[in-house]
Amino acid sequence: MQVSPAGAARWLRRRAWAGSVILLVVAILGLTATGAIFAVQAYAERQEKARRQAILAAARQEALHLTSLSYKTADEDVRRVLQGATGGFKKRFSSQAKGIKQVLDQAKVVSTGTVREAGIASIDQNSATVLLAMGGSVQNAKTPRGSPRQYRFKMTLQHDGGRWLVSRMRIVP
Amino acid sequence: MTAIGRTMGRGLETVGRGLSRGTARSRAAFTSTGLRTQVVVVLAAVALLVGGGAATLYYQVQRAEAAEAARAAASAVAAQRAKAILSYDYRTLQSDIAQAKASATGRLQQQYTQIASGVIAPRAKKQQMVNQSAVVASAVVAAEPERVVMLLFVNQATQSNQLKAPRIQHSEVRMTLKKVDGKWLVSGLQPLSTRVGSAG
Repeated sequence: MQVSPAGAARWLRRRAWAGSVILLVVAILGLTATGAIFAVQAYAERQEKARRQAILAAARQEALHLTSLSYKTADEDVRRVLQGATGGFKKRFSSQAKGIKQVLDQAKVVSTGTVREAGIASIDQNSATVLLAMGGSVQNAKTPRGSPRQYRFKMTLQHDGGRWLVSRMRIVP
Repeated sequence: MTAIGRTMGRGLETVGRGLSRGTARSRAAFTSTGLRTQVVVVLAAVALLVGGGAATLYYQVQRAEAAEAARAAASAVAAQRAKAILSYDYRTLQSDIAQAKASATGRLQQQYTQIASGVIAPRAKKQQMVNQSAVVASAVVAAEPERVVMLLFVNQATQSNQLKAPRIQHSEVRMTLKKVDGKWLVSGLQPLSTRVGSAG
């Protein structure tokens, strides 16, 4: 078999070219595979972050509703609290609702709450415990200017039908 | 490998022929270095892009995992650090203050050092003060790989020769912890509110 020098050079060039193409294709496939694995992990982490934010948002909202009650809008205020509640807390609060409304009305209470800080104490698949440092003021017939309040809340939330609802609520003394 | 390479080369040539409809000149142009270089350049660009994407995702995952680890590590030491900084006994002042200093870092450490020698130590000795702090509950507000913000519920009991009974105070504290040489130390301590509480 006769091979001309020019032909051999061409053959070598082609071989080198084919080699680099294969190398690049393998690299692309490999990087895509590892990238896909990282993408799945990154997605899971993002979901987890979103879950924590949803838990904190739900806890803040419920704590605000619970500390912002007015004799003028008592029915609506109590309903708001119940909407964010479930389980034992919902039962307890709804059984006390009548009494709460009476107290609000008798003393002409207007309370406003603020969340100073909130954090997650523990978390698992379907439940979480949240601590909240609450501030606010309570205004009533005797103190029309309002008196400042501080509370420490410990809430347990449950994942229920796509929403986080408060199932336990305790004021930490 | 060379067999596959040759097959791929031939395949591309066929595509090239199809694309360039015919003339010997364009066929030569394809088989010559021009288009081959382009193929390699495009593939290299794709590889770089995919590689860059994978690297970015890897970085994100690493950061998230580091934040997760930070969350756990800071939670584990928060109560101990708070107790060390907020408690003291007039009989063991020196070691208490040293321990508090060792638990803090940065500006908080400087501030504490000043307050400790200027206010805490002289008053504690004079009034025979014993200040005990307990963390009732703690939670993570935000976590990054090197920095974690926590919310603590703290109960403090103070005894002194000025007080007939121990004074109990309840407070909420925002604590910032930083990772310094692998150790989680307190870089910020901000009381959100304090009030007189009942014993227990």
